[in-house]
Amino acid sequence: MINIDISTAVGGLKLKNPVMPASGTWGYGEEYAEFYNPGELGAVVVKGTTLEPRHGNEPPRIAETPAGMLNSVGLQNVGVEKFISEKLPFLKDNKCVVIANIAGDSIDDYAAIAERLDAEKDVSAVEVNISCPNVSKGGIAFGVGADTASGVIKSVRKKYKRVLIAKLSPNVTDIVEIARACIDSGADALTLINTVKGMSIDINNRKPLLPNCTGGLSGPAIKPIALRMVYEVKKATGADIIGVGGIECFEDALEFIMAGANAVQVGTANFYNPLVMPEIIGGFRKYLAENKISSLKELIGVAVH
Amino acid sequence: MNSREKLSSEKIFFGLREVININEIVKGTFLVEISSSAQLSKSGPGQFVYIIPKTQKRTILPRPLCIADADADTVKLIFKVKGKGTLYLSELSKGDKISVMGPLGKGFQAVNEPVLLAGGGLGAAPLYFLAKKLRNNEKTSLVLGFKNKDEAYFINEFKSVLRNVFVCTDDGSLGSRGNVTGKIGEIIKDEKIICACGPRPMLKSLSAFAGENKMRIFVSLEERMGCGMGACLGCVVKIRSGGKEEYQRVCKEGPVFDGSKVIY
Repeated sequence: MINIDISTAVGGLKLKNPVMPASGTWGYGEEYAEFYNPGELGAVVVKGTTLEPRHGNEPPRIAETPAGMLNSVGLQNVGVEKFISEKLPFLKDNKCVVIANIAGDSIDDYAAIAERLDAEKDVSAVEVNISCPNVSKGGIAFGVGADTASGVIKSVRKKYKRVLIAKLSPNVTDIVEIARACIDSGADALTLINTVKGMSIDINNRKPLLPNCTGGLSGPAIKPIALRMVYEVKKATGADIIGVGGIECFEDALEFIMAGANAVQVGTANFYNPLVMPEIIGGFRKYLAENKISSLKELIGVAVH
Repeated sequence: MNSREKLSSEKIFFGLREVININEIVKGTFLVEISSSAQLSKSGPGQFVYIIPKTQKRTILPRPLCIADADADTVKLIFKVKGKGTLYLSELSKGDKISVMGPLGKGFQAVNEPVLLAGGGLGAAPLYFLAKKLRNNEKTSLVLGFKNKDEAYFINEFKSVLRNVFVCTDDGSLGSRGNVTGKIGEIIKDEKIICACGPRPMLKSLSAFAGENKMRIFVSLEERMGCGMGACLGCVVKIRSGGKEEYQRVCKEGPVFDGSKVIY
């Protein structure tokens, strides 16, 4: 009987297993605690958090598409102060490794929220969201150019001393260029990918179904895109990566690990299978045991040639 | 019991249930009975379940279906075919297994004073469950509104639990011609509470009526949903709260809201 180790590390952040929710799909960890302790996960990535509370976009915010869904939630959140005072204690009580996803309208916003979170030792890392497709200012506007992405990462790096992860958009011509710019500017790791910009039309009303016109496509439909981008960035940069996009079972998660991801995030699948993340963690243990592999780390990037 | 059922929470069931029966009660509207569970048997009126049909035709998101009745043996769900997901659900057969999560959301609170029930179209379904639960149902009146007689359902079922059942249709083909709010205005006595479920314009006019008549009103709302658990913020509606307007989640803070606080 070999000792199975499914721990991993992302940008120096040690995780007991490689599975965590994608920001915005799991609230602040309380919602799914009905089913299992959030402390069982490798980490908890919280809802995209801004300096001030945000109302988000007008409903309807969701549209179903073939093998996926569009959302235009638009970063509705309680703001950083309420996150710290009202949401963080629950995560701390449940011994979660907390990754705060942060977003802003301006570089100063990002820097201010990073500085505020730097003072909270219970937040182990920040995931800098420069890729949200559903807000008019900030978000993806920073993530589509190497210079702007670099500017945000540098400003956060100055204010935040622990692990800094940049979450990138797939809606770019060359993801490797953006990835390099973020790593060169001080990011310890990358999350690949955010949602793919898409749209849906209500043929009865003859107008876009989402009031915001476009939304972010997630779900199994985007898995091949995400996997390709993880592969390309790993191959070109060797950076630590959290892979995300369309993962709905252990086999999907393992593909991302083999493509070079150090850890994975699960998003849309939580909506139709609230137990998907514990199932994936169990799947990793079973696979390693059956294949007599002692450490998950041996599998990271094995398919990258 | 499969592994998922072992992992279900004390309050919320998640796992496979069997279709005991499925019937098209009126054209395009289906009553499906599924096997119950300890958690599902504790469902309340106004709560819903999330259903994923087991089918080759792929849909991603579960469909929220309102609970029309629930006990230790069965849960009755009513839905109308509106799109692909509900079309696939309508193709279920007796004996099929479907993935079920629930009960979810906050439903109607039990009240001990005379209440007016108002249901429009598919919105009648949760009111049947509510009518059965009300202790003072001899004083409860119900108005059901439909487009026409072909869309009316559950009339006899309601009459078996309530004494005062009124039906109205847009075209007058069944009951009186007119809408639910108009009929409520005709029959109102000393009731101080309205519980309503139906199309948004009907809930809006009923809420205005309740305001004018100094009545409390509780409305059950619908919105497109992602997770059903309050995590994704996909199903929000605008609510007045503490002098401000804010988005609240239909799946968590609702689906039943204080109608006077909903911004329609």
